[in-house]
Amino acid sequence: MHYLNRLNLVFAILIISTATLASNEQVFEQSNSGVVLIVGEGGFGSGALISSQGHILTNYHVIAESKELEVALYGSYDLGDDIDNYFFKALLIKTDATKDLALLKLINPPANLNVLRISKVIPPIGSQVHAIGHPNTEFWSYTTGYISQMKHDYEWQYEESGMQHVATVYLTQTPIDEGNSGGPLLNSHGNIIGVNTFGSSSASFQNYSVSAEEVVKFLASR
Amino acid sequence: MNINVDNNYINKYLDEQAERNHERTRAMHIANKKEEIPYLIAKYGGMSLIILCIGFALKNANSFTKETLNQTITGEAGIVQQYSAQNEDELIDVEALLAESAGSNDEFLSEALTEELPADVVRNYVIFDQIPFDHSEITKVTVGRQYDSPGSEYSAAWCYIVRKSATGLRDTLFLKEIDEDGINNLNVTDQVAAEFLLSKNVILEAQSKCTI
Repeated sequence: MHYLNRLNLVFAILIISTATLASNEQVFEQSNSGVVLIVGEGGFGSGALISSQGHILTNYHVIAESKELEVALYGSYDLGDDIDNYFFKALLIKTDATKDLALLKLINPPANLNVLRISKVIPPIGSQVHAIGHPNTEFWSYTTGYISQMKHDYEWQYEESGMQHVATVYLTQTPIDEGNSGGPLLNSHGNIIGVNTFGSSSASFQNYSVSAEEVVKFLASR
Repeated sequence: MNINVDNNYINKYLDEQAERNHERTRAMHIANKKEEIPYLIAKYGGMSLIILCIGFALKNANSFTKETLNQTITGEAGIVQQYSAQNEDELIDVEALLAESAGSNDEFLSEALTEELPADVVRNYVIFDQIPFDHSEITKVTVGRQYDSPGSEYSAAWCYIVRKSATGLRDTLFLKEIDEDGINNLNVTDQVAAEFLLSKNVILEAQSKCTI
């Protein structure tokens, strides 16, 4: 009886540990092929496939310097051995420089794109969030953290462009770096709640994502 | 000579002794159990509490609790974003959202790319789109797109607002331009706003309407 109780306790702890790990793994597994690599003359960044027609949500500053854009899909798509098959031209559909958002569309996208869905639920502070992107050319890398704060009409400015941006953003301590820009911030359902946009140069745990609320307004705008 | 000895009384005595010892042992056992009761309660209560905690931990592990804000946001395309307190995630219908907003750029771009027109059509032309803007002095944001040919993407685009000055002349403020050098956004500073006699927020809002 005594040993049986101990065994049950150990078993329960094992189940909890396994359940937590599996959840994060599942978020990555189900979402990574919905994240794309955007390459332009001005550099590279991340993006999220949001429609089966090939619409891609990203940051304006990722594409601002580029006239021609190429988008690379994740290697899990069955597009053959030639790496060129994974690169697609993309059109710039619309931008909102103030909110630092841009919408692209793949030209001749493949079928069965893994589309990431956008959540309309505001995540509470402290909830776990996940990021997938290409920090410092570490392509399709996964990080996780927590929502630290939600900031309405937050203003920021990039040193390079000098342009001023205003949007509602989430402050997270999910590690992101150059190359994560434009990538999705996901909730634990694997749905988009923000667009990873910028981070504090002095504090690595202060990173910011434009909220899904702003994304919806941007997508609905003409 | 046979002598018969009756040993029954000895056996009976021994049986009684055994029975007494048995009763005594049982009484001691009960007394011990009574003393153990608080410890047993603490033991099983503690175990129950641990199991309950594990249950809550499992329930809340990676859960996505929602915040009820009673907030409704209506997008320009009539899309409503609501927040509720249900456990399942709620999703935006992005396809519908894009379909509704596609009236401007998306459809236009796709048509421009696919449409076959005769060879003698006009070339190097500009199409202007006017986006309504709700302000006493600025009623619209104008977007111009220059096309080298009907089958090509636009080669240049620009976005501006116009304000009538007191002298009757019209002041134009270019908010965004796209040309061969890339995208150039006007850096809206306090000085720019003061020179154009509008607030910085109004100019920034107008700039956000520049969908090029």
